Amino acid sequence: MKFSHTPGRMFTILRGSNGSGKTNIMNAITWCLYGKEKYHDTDQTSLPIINKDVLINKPSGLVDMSVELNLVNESGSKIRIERRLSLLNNNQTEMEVDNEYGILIPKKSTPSVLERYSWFDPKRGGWKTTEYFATEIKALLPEDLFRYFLFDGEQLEEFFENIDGVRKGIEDVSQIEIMQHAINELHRIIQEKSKNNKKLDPKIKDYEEKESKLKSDIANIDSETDVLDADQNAKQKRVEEIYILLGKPEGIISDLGDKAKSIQQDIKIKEEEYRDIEREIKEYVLEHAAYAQAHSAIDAALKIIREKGNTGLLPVEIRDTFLQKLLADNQCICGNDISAGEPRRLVEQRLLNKAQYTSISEICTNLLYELESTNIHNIKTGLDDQERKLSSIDEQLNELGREQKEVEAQLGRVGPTEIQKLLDEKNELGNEIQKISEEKGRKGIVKENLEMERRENQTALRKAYKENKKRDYITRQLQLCRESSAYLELTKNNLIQNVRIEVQKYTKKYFLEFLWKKSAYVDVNISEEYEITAIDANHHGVRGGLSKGQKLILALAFMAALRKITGFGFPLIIDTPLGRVSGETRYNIARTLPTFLQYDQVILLVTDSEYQAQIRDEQNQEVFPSVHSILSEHVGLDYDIIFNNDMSEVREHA
Amino acid sequence: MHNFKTFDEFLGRDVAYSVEKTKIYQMLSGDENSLFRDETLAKIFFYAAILGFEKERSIKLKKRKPTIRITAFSNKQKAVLIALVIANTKGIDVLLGKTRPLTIIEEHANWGINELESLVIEGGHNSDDYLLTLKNVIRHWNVQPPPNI
Repeated sequence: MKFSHTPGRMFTILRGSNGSGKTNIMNAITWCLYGKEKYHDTDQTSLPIINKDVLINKPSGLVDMSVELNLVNESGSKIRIERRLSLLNNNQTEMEVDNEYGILIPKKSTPSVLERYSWFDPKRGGWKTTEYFATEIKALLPEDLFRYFLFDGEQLEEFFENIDGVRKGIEDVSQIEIMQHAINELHRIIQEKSKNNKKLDPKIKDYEEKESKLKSDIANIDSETDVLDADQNAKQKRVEEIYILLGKPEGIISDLGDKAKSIQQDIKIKEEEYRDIEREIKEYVLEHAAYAQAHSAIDAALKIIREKGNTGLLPVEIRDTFLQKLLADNQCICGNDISAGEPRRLVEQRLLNKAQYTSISEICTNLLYELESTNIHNIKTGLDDQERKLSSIDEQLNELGREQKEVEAQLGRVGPTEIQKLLDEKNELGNEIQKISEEKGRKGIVKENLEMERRENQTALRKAYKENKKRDYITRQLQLCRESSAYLELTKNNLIQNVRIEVQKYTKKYFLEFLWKKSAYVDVNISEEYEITAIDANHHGVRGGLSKGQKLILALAFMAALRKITGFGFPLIIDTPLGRVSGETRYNIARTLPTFLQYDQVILLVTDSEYQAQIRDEQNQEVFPSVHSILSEHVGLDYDIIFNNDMSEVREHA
Repeated sequence: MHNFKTFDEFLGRDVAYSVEKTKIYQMLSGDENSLFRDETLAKIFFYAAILGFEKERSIKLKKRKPTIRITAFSNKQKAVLIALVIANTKGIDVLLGKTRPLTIIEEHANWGINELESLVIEGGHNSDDYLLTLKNVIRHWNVQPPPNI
């Protein structure tokens, strides 16, 4: 099907009733360009691009469908865009949307699609095909912008009345897709890296503090161990000194020490005995020596007494008092009378003379007894025994003394008491050295544990440093991404704002140019919130107060502005451009369209009633010429789309 | 005349020494270097008396202090003291005399105590020497067996 591109007659009309397949023209174009039927109803009630009749007639076998667009640009370059779909039908008449190819196809069929972009190379006299189909299509008309070139007139108002629609329109023509894509990508990267960065957040400070503490603890233990070492060494040195002093192996020293001790004990005992015996001797001597000292006197006294005894004077046999009485009584012992001179009297007188020691007779007898009872021999023997005993102990002491000297000689310079002291000291030092060793051992274990902990901490710290480096790098990356994103965002926004202003400018231009009541409005504003407002002569913003026709004009102006900004030159295809308006509005718009779109190749998809019938204004009952009448001089080609037997056919309008 | 049965009876009183000799007695019994340390006054007196009789020296007591109980002496000691008197007077008649034997003993002890002091205390080591002297006295004690009466 050809479309008119005759200057001045750039309009092509495609007439068809509702459901005849007009919209499918647009679907065919979008499918050819983008592989998608952009105007297909989701409920799949509209006809698919693929001809169902073909499917019915050819329930099995190869089905082939293609759309080919041939375009010529202003410089005369020819472009051919072709998309072909082949599939093997398997008796399936039920359709489903193929998500990959974006078209309705028989269920469970496996299509293959060919897409081809070719341009005519005059130098070579033939078509050249590029493998970069999508790139070329994008350069021709990006998918995001197709709706500004192929659009449904019935939805036009809604499009521009919807703020999102306006925003999208402006953003689309700003062609910020790449920029937005970059911004999105940057955001994605920021999010991803931020997430990962959080994981990488190292606790360096904690590790560093722990490292410091562990280092300090280990140093303290080393210091304490040094002190213990010094103490142990000093004690060890002292033990060695003791060994030198003792000069002998410990066992012998110990034995000699014990022996010396034993000898010391024995000496002590013997000395005690010696003193006791000395004391006894002293007492003995004092007890008996006096008698020895006085022996001469005693002997003399004994002699005297004995002599008296020998002479019969002692002991006195008859008491002097008795004899005195007898003599006084002149009586004989026998009782006879004795007078003076009587020989018996003389005897009695001699007896009396002999009894002169009567008073001391018993004393002398006692003296004899006491003095003679002294057993000199026993006394001497006793003394000798004691002296011998003393002498014996003395000898024993001498012997012990010799033994002691021998032991001391063997022990060396120190005496047994000192030896024992040294041995005791050595043993105590040994115990202390052992305790120090144990303490050092405990500290060693603690140190080992601390060192292990420190190694682990250092590993963690190194890892943290590494991660911190990585984190810093990521942070810098994030910073870059954020800055880039912000810059892109700013650039995008600036671009959008600039485009908005440009769109606003052209919308205003077109709106005011093609408004038939030119005095009614003076300006068009597209706010930063993407609200399009017509400004009336009183400088009031008007949105809801626009008539349908004015809205349509505004919408067309907006679309034209968008198209202008894009810079893309693609035919304009409007489906049912005037379907929403009637009466005078339709008439006015129909009149405006050629001027409005004088430089564009325009394809209008219209219904008969929309195009062919006279326009009657229901309000004022005025009758206006049909759209056909209005546009005919601008129409280069006119087609009918006839739907017959589930198939649409395009014929030139007669 | 009373028949004396016991030495105590015969001697009749406690023993006295001169007051000025008190210090000597105290020293002899108290000094740590004294041979007679911790010995009774009776024993010290006894030895003093023997020395006095041995040397046949006596000093009259100026001021008597009867401090040694006669019972403090053993019978043997009393016998020896009386024997000293008998030997000194070369007879037993002195025992009958008016002069109490104890007075004679005290006077000889009065001299003897000075001698004992010099023998025992003075010079420091005299105790040992005197002890040795006494030991020798015992060792050289030559005694004839007593004749039968």
